[in-house]
Parts: sequence; C-alpha cells; structure tokens
Amino acid sequence: MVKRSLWLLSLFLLLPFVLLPFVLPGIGYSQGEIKKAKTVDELIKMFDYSSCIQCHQKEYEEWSKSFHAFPLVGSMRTLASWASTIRLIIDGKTYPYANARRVEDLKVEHLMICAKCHLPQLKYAEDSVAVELAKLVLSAAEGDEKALEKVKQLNINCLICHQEVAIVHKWRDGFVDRSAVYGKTEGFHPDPKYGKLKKSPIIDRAVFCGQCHGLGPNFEFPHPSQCATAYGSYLHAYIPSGGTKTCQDCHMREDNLGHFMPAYRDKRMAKKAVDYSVEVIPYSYLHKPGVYHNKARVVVKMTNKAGHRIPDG
Amino acid sequence: MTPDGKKVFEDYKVYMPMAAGWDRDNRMMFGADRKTGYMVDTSLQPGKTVKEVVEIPFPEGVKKMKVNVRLWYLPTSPAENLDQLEEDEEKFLFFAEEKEVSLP
Repeated sequence: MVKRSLWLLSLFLLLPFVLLPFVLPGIGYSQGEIKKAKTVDELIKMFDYSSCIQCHQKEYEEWSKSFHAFPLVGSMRTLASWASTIRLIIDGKTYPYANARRVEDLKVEHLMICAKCHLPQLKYAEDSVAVELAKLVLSAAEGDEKALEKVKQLNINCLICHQEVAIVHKWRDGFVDRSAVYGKTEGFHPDPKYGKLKKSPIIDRAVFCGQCHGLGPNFEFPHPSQCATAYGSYLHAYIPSGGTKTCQDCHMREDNLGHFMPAYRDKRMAKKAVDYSVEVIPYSYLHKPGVYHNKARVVVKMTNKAGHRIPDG
Repeated sequence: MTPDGKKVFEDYKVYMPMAAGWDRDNRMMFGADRKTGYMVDTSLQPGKTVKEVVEIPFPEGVKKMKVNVRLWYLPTSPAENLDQLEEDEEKFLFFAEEKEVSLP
C-alpha cells in the first residue's frame, strides 16, 4: 500500500513537468527548438512542403513561378552574387578578418549575410551545410546543372512564410508553434504534421514582407549586407507621400496575382508601376540673324505609382 | 529616326539607387556584401513625377522624324548593350511611345 502510494505520488509530481511544455506557451516545442541539419538534403527535408501541395495546388503553382521558389538563383544574377560573395570572403584580401581562406572554412554566419533573406532556414543548419552549400553555389555558377538543381531546392516555401517568419512580435504574439501553420484565421488544419492553423496578425501587412525586403544595411551582422531596400522606401517615401496600400495589395490581391507575387517580369505590374506621357514639339531656334537650328523638343514625364522606389527589391 | 529609318540621335538616362562600396570612397559597387547605404539615388520615387527634356536637332534637309521613347528595366546588364539583350529575359519593357514630329 505504501509502495503504491509512493508510486502515485511520484507520478503526480512528474506529471506537471511532463505536461508543461504542451500547456504553457513559450516553453519547449512552442519556442521552435529545432535539431540542426547536417547536410543540405537534411535542411531541405526539414522544410519539406510537399504535403501542402495536395490542398493548395493553385498557390503552389503560382509560387513555383515566383523568385521565392528559387531564391538562391533568381534571375541568375542572384546566383552570380552568391558565388561572388563566397569568393570574396575566402580570397583572403577583401575580407581579411572573415576568418576564412578556403570554402571549407566557411560557416553559417558567413552565408547568413545573404541567407537572412534568401534562405532564413539556414540558421537551423550546422556549418557543414554552409560548406556544402557554398560548393554547390560555386559549381552551379560555373554551369554545373546538377548543382543548380540542388540549389533550386532550397527555397522560401510555404513553411518559411506560413510558419518561420509568420510571427514578428514574439513578445506579444508568442513564439512560432512548429506544429502549426499560420494564416489569417485560426482553426483546424488537415495536415498530419501541421494540424493547427493559427493566426498571424501581420501576414497581410507590409511589415511581414519588410522582414526581408529590407530597410538598408543589416547592421546586426559583423559585416553588414544590403540587398533589397523596398520596405525602407515604402516606409520613408511611399507612406509620407500619402500611400495607403500594402505590398500584398499590389503584388498579390490586385490582378489575382496571388502567390506569384511578380514585379518587373510581369507586364501588368510594369504597366501599373509607372504613369507616363511623351510630348514632342518641333521648333526652329534662331541661333543668329538668318540662321535657324531646327529641333524636336521631347518632354517625357514619368510618375512612379508603386509603393517603393523603382528599381528596388 | 528619319523617314528612311536612319537613326540620327540616341541617348539614355539611368534611374537607380547607387551604393558606395562599404560606404566609402564614393565608388559605386554592386553586391550585397559591398553595398552599404546609398550615396546617390536617381531612381523613380513613389508618388513623384520625373520630367526629362531632350532636344534633338533635325539633320540638314530632314523635315520629319520619328521619336521613340522607351523605359526598360535591366536587372543585370548595362544600358550600352540594349540592342543585344533578349527581351523578357535580360530587358523588360515598362513603356514605349513613338511620336512623329514634322517641321511646318
């Protein structure tokens, strides 16, 4: 009787500590503890979005045409920039204090100056992944098709926007729940791994896109990078000029662009980005008595109707 | 361009933000690892109108010209190579306007 009582007492004492991670937010899994990937393939698998496609076919097809689907490659300029940055880091002259002289010396922190936005999930990888990824990028940039196909599998997919970066104000809204996907509402989500749909209060606000589409130099890094600054232009030029739209308004909702989210590649976006007029008047300039210079005076006016400077990203 | 298709004048202007490399020396650089801040910004600003005036002299004996104005987005290439660039791959047209102008 005493032994059973002791056993039951132990169980009751243990239970709160076992249940705690699942009851109190901000502890354990809810804080997004993830075991780091050791290989590129592991990192790809960690953010496997294939189960999303079955129900979200339309969104998947739209997204697959966007640069988010191949952010390390982009217009091929991105791949060239990644390769160039890697070469400069290890050349020993440009960045002598980067502590890297060979590809094998590279760490995640070296690549994060680009991966912060181009591959945020890289922070869940060990340095071995940084080395492997750098080698793939360099090979792909030199024309290795197999390396290019592998690099293209690392992307800003459903689980990045609808989970990883879905919560901006963690002190207010909690840390990311790895068993949930985030959208505009809450409820049940019929997926074996992500059975909960939670609300991201800012997923349809400009600040959501601004996490990557930049303010200026990323001063949090020991070597600040600067790529896209569209959000900065949005905040400091578009809003003060009286602008009221969000990124999502122009790049997703209007024209049913959806998850394609195009920019300059799409003629609809190009057309609505700039209003213009061209006027031409011929006239004869009297240079000196009896001498005329005939000219065509061309006046071009262009008004930027976008939510940020053009060009930007 | 004259009525017989001869190009008599060509000019271009570049609109873009320009970052100095590591924000020093005022030397423009490309590459996210090099760009820090902006030193000059000629890009089209939201809500603002840019006005450009170009005066094209009529060649001797020519009384009629066609004027072509185009705004291209060039993601990677410099403007000098415009004619060699593949449209919708290396250059993207934002607008094109052609006007005929004749001396009275």
